[in-house]
Amino acid sequence: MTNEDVIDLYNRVKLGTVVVVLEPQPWRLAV
Amino acid sequence: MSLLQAKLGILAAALMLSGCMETTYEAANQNNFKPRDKEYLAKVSYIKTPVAEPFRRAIVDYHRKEAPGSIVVDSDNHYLYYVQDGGKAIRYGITVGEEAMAWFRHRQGRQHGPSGRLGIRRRARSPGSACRPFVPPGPDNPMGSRALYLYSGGKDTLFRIHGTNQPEYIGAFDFPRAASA
Repeated sequence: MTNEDVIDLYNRVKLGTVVVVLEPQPWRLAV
Repeated sequence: MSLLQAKLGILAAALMLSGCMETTYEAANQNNFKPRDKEYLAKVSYIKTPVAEPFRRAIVDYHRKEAPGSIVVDSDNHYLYYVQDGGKAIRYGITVGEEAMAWFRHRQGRQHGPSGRLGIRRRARSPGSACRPFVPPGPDNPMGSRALYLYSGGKDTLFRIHGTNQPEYIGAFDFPRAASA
């Protein structure tokens, strides 16, 4: 994430924000 | 052409259009940045390689179930979504490091580990990393200008959403270093 983007995101989110991490597909994990 | 063929043609066109995603590329508004951030960003020593268009910040349609205000990390496609009201999201291009992929492998292999729902418990304006040689906190540091610390069940996962001093790797599928968003 660029520094400009992470500052933008940081300014938007609050503590406690839910972060959903999608599971990678198995073909990506097998590499 | 029969009436049935005409109806099928119209239906197919409608289905194709409904599958289209509207994407509006829009750089972050730096008017909201603090003067110190503007000053630091103007003086970074790394090469500001332009990010490939598909991974630039964009406003996109969003139809998943997550509530507005949530963050969704799609590591397969190298995107992070910040969900907005009205079926929209801000989409950012990211990189996922080897350690993060190893974490996913661990989770799949053992069938346990933190769930896919994490939370931000801590934020840092100028995170540092234990890199060698030492690089002071700031945009030139490998952790970038900001870090969001991801927790699961009250425990630090040690994974972060953070900036980078290597924008050339955003969207790349083989990032050689530590977990990076």
